[in-house]
Amino acid sequence: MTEKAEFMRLPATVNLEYKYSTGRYLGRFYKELRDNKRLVANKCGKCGRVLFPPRIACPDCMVRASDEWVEVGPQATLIFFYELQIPGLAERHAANYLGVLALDGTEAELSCFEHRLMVDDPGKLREGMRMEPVFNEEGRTGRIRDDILGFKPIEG
Amino acid sequence: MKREETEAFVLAQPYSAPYEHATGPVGTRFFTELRDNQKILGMKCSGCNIVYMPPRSTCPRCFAKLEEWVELGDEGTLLTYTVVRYHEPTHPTDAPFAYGIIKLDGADTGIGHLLGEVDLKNISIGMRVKAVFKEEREGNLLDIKYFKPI
Amino acid sequence: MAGRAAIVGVGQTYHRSKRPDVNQIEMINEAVRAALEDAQLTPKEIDCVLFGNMEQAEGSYLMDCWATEGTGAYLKEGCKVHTGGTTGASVAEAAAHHAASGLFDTVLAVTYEKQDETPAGMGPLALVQDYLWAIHTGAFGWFARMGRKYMLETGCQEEHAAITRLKSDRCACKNPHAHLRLNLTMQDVLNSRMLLYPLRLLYMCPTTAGACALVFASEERAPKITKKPVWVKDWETVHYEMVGYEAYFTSRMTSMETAANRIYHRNGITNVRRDIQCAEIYEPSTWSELQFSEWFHFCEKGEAWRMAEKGVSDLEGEFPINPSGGVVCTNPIGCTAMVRVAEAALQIRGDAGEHQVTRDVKRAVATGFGGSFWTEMLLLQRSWD
Ligand SMILES: [Zn+2]
Ligand SMILES: [Zn+2]
Repeated sequence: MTEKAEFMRLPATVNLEYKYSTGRYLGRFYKELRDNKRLVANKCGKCGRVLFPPRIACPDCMVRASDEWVEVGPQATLIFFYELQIPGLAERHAANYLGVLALDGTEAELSCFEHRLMVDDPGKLREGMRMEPVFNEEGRTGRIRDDILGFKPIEG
Repeated sequence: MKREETEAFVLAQPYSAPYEHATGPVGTRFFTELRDNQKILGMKCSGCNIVYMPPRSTCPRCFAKLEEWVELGDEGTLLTYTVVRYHEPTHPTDAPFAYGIIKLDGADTGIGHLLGEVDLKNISIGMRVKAVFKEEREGNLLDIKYFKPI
Repeated sequence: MAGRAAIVGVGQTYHRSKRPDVNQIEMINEAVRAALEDAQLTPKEIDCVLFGNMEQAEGSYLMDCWATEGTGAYLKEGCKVHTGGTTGASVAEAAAHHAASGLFDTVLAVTYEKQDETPAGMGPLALVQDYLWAIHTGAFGWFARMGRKYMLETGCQEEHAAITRLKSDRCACKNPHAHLRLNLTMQDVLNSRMLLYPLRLLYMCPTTAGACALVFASEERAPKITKKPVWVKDWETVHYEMVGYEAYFTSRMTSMETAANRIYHRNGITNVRRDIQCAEIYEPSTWSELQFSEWFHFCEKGEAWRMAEKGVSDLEGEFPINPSGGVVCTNPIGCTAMVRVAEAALQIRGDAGEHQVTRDVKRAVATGFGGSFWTEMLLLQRSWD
């Protein structure tokens, strides 16, 4: 017996257009990235923690974060990487390798993030290696996954 | 801080998901009869003396398992209605259109459906209506094109 | 907590990849009937129904409303609780709160997931992330990182993950409700497809259709319903800060350690493997069973793989972990954490059947894990004291 013949299924495709507000802290981050290719973070006025991505409150102190901004990166340390072997994943992310990266000046454990890796020779990828971002030079829109094309090893 | 420096972005996040819902044995029989034989079936709970339309496998009121199928006519009574005068992409048809809750003869519960071949200014609660089936039926509730006044 | 609550009824469906033969409501109904039968109660004797699933997974919203004929909630009090992966534990905790509050004598807790109705690749769950931020490989990435870190830090080799996976499979094969019952060999495991190194397909939880229901009763009512009430002694929910990838680091206290520390401290548990006899933990991957076991203090740091190697966590072992087969064998997401609670309760009752552990279980923990690395933990006991 085939399932289809025996029991009927009704298709129900949902198409939705969500719109997310970044708020002023992430908004400033994206604006700096888009207009100046700068990566910025704000700080907690109480404990001094660099909050990256920038946000309104320090999770450690539960106080409103300050408007003291610092530049972080753009150089970064590669913490972890992997090849996208799951069908469809490489296409979805437009990359064959993704890495977890910690920008200089941020606390790696709480501020690292995933991004595409742009490498000619994946065999040279090593955890702990130094990398730098490749910015999108045409039509940045304010989104980290689009305005930075990926991270590449620092030569030399 | 100057206003432009604190400007928030709005990020678009499109979401598309092709769900597919199992109708189960009761739903399968209901939709199959609708599609193949233009028959509308209800399900009776003898304990509660209620005929459910659409049919279901458990009585919501007494939790009994239900197996007593009842063939309902294609005529019924309009319990309530409204006229839709604005457009939404999720609407089944272009505005203006009317839809209402129709209780089929022999059923105790009503079902929401479109009203067709009807003067939008001349609909009344309690009016008698009849199901008009689609030519090409697929096995869903819109195999009934609409209900029209008798 | 002023009052006390006990689990007096346990029910679940047979978990499978696909259940084309029932719709969502009918599948829920199977678990509810099983739980009511186990408690020997009629729907009329239930005061309140709490409900949960992974919102969006099936594209059917407000299922607590649509599913009243499945749950028997018609004209009863109750609401939906939705906390992502931990939903099953959240609903159980909420039900314990309700039953212990004195407001309700009996509370039915129901969860389900029907992943055969979810778009392939868990489309909607791709949205389960910090929605403003960056690029995500989701759960695969997390557990691959966790496995890699665990290997580097502890000296664990892949074969230890395989040993752990085989243990899960042996247990699942004895549990008729489990989804993946594969009779695996070491070769099967080591040859299964690599998703993201070192995460193989068999180290990852499946997509499952299934439902689970539990009946909770107040202190006064519970002993009248069953001779074997399972007391919900304590519970704890801990959230975490999302953004970073704590799966890769351990310098900060995780939500799991925090939850375990609080529960153990409040209940005088000083030697975990002596004072607790069994654990049903939410391990979304085999690598997380190893890592989580350490965070829950089931062993010393860096020792979980040795524990697996020695068979400590086996069904017959000194400290059985997931004798049901666990989450790598059965994962109806929003329901998964409740299955942990249900299975822990069955172990305490001695009613687990073929997968009953050798050790006498007077006390067990059940956990939930979800989204931004948060944890729920319940302590269940045969007697209150
Ligand atoms: Zn701070
Ligand atoms: Zn009835």
